[in-house]
Amino acid sequence: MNPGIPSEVATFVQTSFSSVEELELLMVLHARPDQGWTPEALAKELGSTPGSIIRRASGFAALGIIAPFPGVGSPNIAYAPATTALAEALHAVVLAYRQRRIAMITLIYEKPHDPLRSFSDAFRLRKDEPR
Amino acid sequence: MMAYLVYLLCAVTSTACAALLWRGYRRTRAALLMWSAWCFAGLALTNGVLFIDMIVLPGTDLRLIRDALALGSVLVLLVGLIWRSHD
Amino acid sequence: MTDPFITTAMFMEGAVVLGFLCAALFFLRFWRRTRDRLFLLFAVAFLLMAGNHAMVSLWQISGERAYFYLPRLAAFLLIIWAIVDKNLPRRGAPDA
Repeated sequence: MNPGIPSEVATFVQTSFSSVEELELLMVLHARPDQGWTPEALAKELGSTPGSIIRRASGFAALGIIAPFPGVGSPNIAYAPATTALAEALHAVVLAYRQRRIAMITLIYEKPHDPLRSFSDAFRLRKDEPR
Repeated sequence: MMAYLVYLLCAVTSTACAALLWRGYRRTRAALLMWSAWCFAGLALTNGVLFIDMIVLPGTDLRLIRDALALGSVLVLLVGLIWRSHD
Repeated sequence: MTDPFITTAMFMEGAVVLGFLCAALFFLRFWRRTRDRLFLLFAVAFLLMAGNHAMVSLWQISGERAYFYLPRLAAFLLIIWAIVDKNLPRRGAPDA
């Protein structure tokens, strides 16, 4: 599907992440695992808004990438994978993103959301046939 | 003679559908395609057993095996349609 | 007719007919949702399969009278048509 990205990584990315912002957030948190961030600091680092960072962080908390997100006060966001399996998967994602950034971004935006469309498209013999 | 052609056509078409759906599943990871692919593979097999039952070994009655295969195929398809046809 | 093999076979064949009918209904629903002709063709194909299996089961057709399998042939021809139709070049507005 995408050359150079292992299929387990691709599956993990497509099921867990839905934006480039999330990948970039993962990169920042992963690079300095013992550092805690505020949403404002992360927003400045990534060129985003605190509100958007908070939304992404909540998603990360649900996945177990960071500690549960309090949502009130001044939260301290730090890289804290809940299981070793998750940590390994995330590490693979980070490596893949470093090596094949464009392919990883393409993966996220090519994600089909519609099983029916996928079913129908499966019968297209050539990938570039017009719809 | 007609019987040969019908069974053959059905088996070939089912196999083609299964292959196309499996390829689509590998590309999109949509589970519906996986379940459907298995259904069509099962139907191809059912038609194959039908062919054997009617033409290759006319003395035997493989009805129960055919039925079990067909039922299994249809159940597998229904799992996909009911469970995986929307996000 | 209390032969357990026949009873079991009839039981399974009945379930298969209902299964194909359900699948056809799902494909009909998908056609309504997406307006994609492929789903309509699959729906009719599976309806024909249901009817064919019902016929064969109720009338205890053996394979020699192959014309009783014509609905099955029609069903698979429909599926082939669906695939061909999906791959023809589009003219005018796309069919979605």
